[in-house]
Amino acid sequence: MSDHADPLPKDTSWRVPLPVTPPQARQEVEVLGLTFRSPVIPAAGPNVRDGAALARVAENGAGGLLAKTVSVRAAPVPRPNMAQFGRAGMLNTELWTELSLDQWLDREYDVGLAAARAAGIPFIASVGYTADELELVAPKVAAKGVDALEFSIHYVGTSFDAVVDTARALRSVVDLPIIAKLSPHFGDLGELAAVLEPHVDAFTCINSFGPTLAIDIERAEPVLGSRYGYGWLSGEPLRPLAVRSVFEVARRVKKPVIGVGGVSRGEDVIEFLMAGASLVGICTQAIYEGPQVYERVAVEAAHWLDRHGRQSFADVQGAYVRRFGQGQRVLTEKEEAPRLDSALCIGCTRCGVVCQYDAMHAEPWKTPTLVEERCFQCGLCVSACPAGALSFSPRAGRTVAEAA
Amino acid sequence: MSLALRLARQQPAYRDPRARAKDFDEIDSGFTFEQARVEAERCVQCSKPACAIEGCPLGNAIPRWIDHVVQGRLRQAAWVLATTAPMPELCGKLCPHERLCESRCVLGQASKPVAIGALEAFVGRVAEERGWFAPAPSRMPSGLPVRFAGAADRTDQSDPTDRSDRRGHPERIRGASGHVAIIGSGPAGLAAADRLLALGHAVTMFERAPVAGGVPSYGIPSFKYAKSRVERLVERVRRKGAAIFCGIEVGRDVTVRELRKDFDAVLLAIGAPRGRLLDLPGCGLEGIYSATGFLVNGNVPAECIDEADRREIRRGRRCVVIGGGDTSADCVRTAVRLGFEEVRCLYRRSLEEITGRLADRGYAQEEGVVYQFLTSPTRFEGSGRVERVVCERMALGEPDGSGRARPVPIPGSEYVLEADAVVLSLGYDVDRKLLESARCQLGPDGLVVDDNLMTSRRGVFAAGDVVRGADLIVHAARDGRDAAMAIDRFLREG
Ligand SMILES: Cc1cc2nc3c(=O)[nH]c(=O)nc-3n(C[C@H](O)[C@H](O)[C@H](O)COP(=O)(O)OP(=O)(O)OC[C@H]3O[C@@H](n4cnc5c(N)ncnc54)[C@H](O)[C@@H]3O)c2cc1C
Ligand SMILES: Cc1cc2nc3c(=O)[nH]c(=O)nc-3n(C[C@H](O)[C@H](O)[C@H](O)COP(=O)(O)O)c2cc1C
Repeated sequence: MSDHADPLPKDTSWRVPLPVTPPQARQEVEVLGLTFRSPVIPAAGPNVRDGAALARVAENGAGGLLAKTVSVRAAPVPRPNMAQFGRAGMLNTELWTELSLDQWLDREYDVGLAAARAAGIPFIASVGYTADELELVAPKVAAKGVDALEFSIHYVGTSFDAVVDTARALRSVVDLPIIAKLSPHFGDLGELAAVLEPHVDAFTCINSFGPTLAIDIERAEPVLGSRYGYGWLSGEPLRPLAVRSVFEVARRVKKPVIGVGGVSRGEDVIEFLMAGASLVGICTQAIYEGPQVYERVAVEAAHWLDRHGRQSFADVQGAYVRRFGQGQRVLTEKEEAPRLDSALCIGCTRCGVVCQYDAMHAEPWKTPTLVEERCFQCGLCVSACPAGALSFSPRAGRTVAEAA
Repeated sequence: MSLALRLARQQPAYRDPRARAKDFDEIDSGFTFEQARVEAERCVQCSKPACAIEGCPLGNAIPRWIDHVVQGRLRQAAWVLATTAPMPELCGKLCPHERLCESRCVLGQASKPVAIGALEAFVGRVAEERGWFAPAPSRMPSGLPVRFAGAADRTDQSDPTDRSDRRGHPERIRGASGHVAIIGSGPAGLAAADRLLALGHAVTMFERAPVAGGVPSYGIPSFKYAKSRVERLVERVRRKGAAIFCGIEVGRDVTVRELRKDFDAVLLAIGAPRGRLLDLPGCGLEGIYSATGFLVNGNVPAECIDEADRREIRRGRRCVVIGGGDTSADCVRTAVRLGFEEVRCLYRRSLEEITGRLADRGYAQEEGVVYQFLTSPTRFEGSGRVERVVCERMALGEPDGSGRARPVPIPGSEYVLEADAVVLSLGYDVDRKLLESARCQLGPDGLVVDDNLMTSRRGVFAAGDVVRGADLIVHAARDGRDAAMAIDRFLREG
């Protein structure tokens, strides 16, 4: 893969058909004084690896643009550097851009910015890593006319001081909104965000998690080409960690959060927004599906709003933080077995198989029977039911605080 | 080896042929949930899925909804499906998938293609049973123009509102809502109604038969697709807001021109109902039926059949069905279920050229039907009622206009088959007389339409078999869906 080889034209002719009736809910969101066409934007990765990729993302309906992380020099990217994990996960060791800073400044930013302007959407650049490097890189990138700068703490170490230093350094050299991209291996992201808040304008949560290791057992070799074969986990398996991190940050700070990690459908957007995010970023699913993912996911999310009688994303933003941000617990005053709505049951037998307490007995196509005395209320059958036929009545939506 | 190749293609459980040949119930119960999940796991999630791009006339986002099935999110799977598919349960069960989506599944190169049809049928069935496709009914009353006030009594539609009422209705979803008349309630008409209602228009449907649903109600036997499922589909569209008036024949009770005056647009979705006939000596004998006449009277309770179409099917021991298409498989299997002990299907070409689905022919053979290839009738004999079919053997010659080898009779090869009933299943044509009276331009297959599915008469659209000639449910559904969008544009932009 040479930096200057002409890329093969990328055919994006197949798109998941969008619903025929467009969603009614308002899709635009305002963050950092910028108007995004939808809350769904790219997260840094090969999906935004150069100007041409950025232009495709803009043409395919992303809410805004965000470019791959640049640094003083091109990354010495080991190969292989990406491997699929499970159905929708990924391990990567891509580091940052494999293109030179000069190439970005001479060409790629111009192409990307032109596409953003043509689509009328904001453009965020991503820079790394140490304070010294940022002082060199950031002013040049800012001079291209980008709307905001994201910096990644991924390779800055795990001390609060080092991270605050880089934020300060960035603030001193540019006059743009600054977004700190947090990595989960740092540790307590809520605490970190609180310490960083005076020095930045927003947060992106989270980068990929790791390091992790997967071994090709037929050859006793790593699947990735990095030292020890270590890589970073992203995609669907990352989502619960990402949602937790967004929540953790959002409950500690007032500044906006961009939720990133395992987003692949409209419901994921809603989940991140409820946890306190204002925008969401997608990397892995964009690699697997192509640039049409951003619009598809945004439209799915807007349809969710329609179905739930909400007019805009602001109506769900932070809903979970407000109710549970102080450590409230869901009301479970009375311990009760799940209730089965036999009108909804499809007779799939899943509840019977997953029950570890021999409380549920299920036969194909029939409604299962539950022996309440045996039920431990572990809850697994409720979440495993594909038809939503099982539910807990005592958790009918009140927290301990609300009940008091 | 990847998971997709390790897993075997799942098969729904089929009933024993001897047991199922005695009744008109469906022959399989479809996938169980676990089967569906395993089958869905086999999908390799192609990034540019040929099944969807090239294989599915509706452009269903097949890998997307299959992925939801893998994750056990059936509701989401149903929603994704519903964005493009007006009637997934019907298509899942009755499309010739092996020629459409499944023929394009890349897995077919290494093992068997993903059972997309059975998966769609599973998701469609679960969704229809739970009412997941039925949104809150549209709040727009759809009704009859005043001149039909009397007709409402003949139908189960309780409160037909007249048009002036609707015009002033405050709760219309979009400014441009119009009122559309749909003639014919088969797949094309129902698909169009579904979309038009979603787009905020009022819909009134006119159906000649006493019961709505088109060929799936009257032609397709219930052992292939239960009538209760067709009813459920019609009911969904009705609940969404369509007023459906059965027992009204356009051309007899009202003309297209009158409807065009009363409604903002008209959609002709009247199918291709004219069974082709054979002009052979003796073809007027009693006991010789058209495929539709045989299927309708064999499958449908008499009270649901228009009086003019009711016929007693003569029972006996031997039944001969002539023709090799999909319909003939339905006829032979209906004959088996009516108690005929010896059922034969005559086809004038060879197994290679036969158009009917392989699967259906397999079921028929399991149920005892005998296929006789390269055989054609020359005349029917009997005193008053048919007793014998005189046949001759054929050989295959040069390809004809359809590209298939032309069958030519072998001189002196005549022989006689005993028959108590004969069914002519030779294909269908559109009702030219009616269409000519509607003064819309006709082509060789059916109505001529432009890119917007509009006929030569402004504001009169057409969809389904009436345009294509006898075709498939999925094509009718696609036409209906596209016609709805075109009508929506027409009503908003003029
Ligand atoms: C026996 C049989 C089996 C088939 N099996 C399959 C199969 O397995 N898979 C598949 O994909 N396709 C199958 N087909 C083809 C498929 O059914 C048709 O392509 C499809 O139904 C066409 O839909 P449509 O809405 O255009 O027309 P239709 O389904 O024919 O509906 C037209 C409707 O218009 C009504 N109508 C007609 N004239 C008037 C009038 N003047 N006024 C008012 N109403 C009127 C009719 O009563 C009918 O209800 C089969 C066809 C037959 C005949
Ligand atoms: C191949 C790959 C390359 C990535 N490169 C970068 C990068 O250069 N800078 C960065 O901040 N994050 C990078 N990320 C992290 C993603 O932006 C994102 O935070 C993470 O993958 C989780 O989101 P996802 O599950 O949608 O992929 C990369 C991720 C992947 C998979």
